[in-house]
Amino acid sequence: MVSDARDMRAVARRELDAHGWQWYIVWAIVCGGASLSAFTHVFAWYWLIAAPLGIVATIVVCAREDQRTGVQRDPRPYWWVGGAITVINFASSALLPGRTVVVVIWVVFGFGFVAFAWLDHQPTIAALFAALAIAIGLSGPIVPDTLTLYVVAGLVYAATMVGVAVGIRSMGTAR
Amino acid sequence: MISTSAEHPTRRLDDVIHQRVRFGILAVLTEADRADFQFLKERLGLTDGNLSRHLQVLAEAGFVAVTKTFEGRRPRTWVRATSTGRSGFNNHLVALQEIIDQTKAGTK
Repeated sequence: MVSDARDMRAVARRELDAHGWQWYIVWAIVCGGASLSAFTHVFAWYWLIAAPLGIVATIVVCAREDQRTGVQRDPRPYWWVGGAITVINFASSALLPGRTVVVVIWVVFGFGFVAFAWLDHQPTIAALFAALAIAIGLSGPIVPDTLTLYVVAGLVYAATMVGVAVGIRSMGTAR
Repeated sequence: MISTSAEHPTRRLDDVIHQRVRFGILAVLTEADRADFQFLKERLGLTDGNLSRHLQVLAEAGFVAVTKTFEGRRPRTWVRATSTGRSGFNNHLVALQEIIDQTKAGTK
């Protein structure tokens, strides 16, 4: 009976984890868009628009997937992580010098993705984002061009998230 | 963990939870926040009537909350474990594990 409980919980968890790929596409677009915005006049206010849009899009795709599959995970821990990322990043952009902000934004995003992947029971993906966040944090003082660092970090996150989404989706359909 | 108290862990088993189907329902609902009727029916391999009856027993005991919604004209039933249901299920699992541990210790 104890192993029955473990099996049933695993069934529910697999179903929940298998539909955790779509928000990666949303944030791949947001991060990729951040990199591209660096070459346009949108750069200054990109995050003011993109962050709320990304959050709304994430809620919509997750809610749709919950409706489709008929099983829903508790959204509250995700709200806490999303709220923390938003507050820290907007506070840092208001309080810190430009060069530091560029690094802080991506490092905070990276560790936010670590937390989301952890909540989705994906420790390997969490470790991947932790490694990316640390690499970006360490390259901050080394890379002389702030704009290059910002653009490359955004593109690396975007590419990683597309890869992760494809991986989760293919594993989900393989089951 | 083996109980040191005189009370045998079987006394802490809940008869409502201990039934196989209801145990399965609570196992799913303590992992997810909520699940719909169809999901539970398919995953547990039950008929509509059978699942309804067990959900009613769990709801009367205060272990689950049942919400009916409409998608267009189609009704949909969502089920969520209450805090009483979650703690009851976890306590039940602990008691079961203690029984297993005591039995294993006794056969050594």
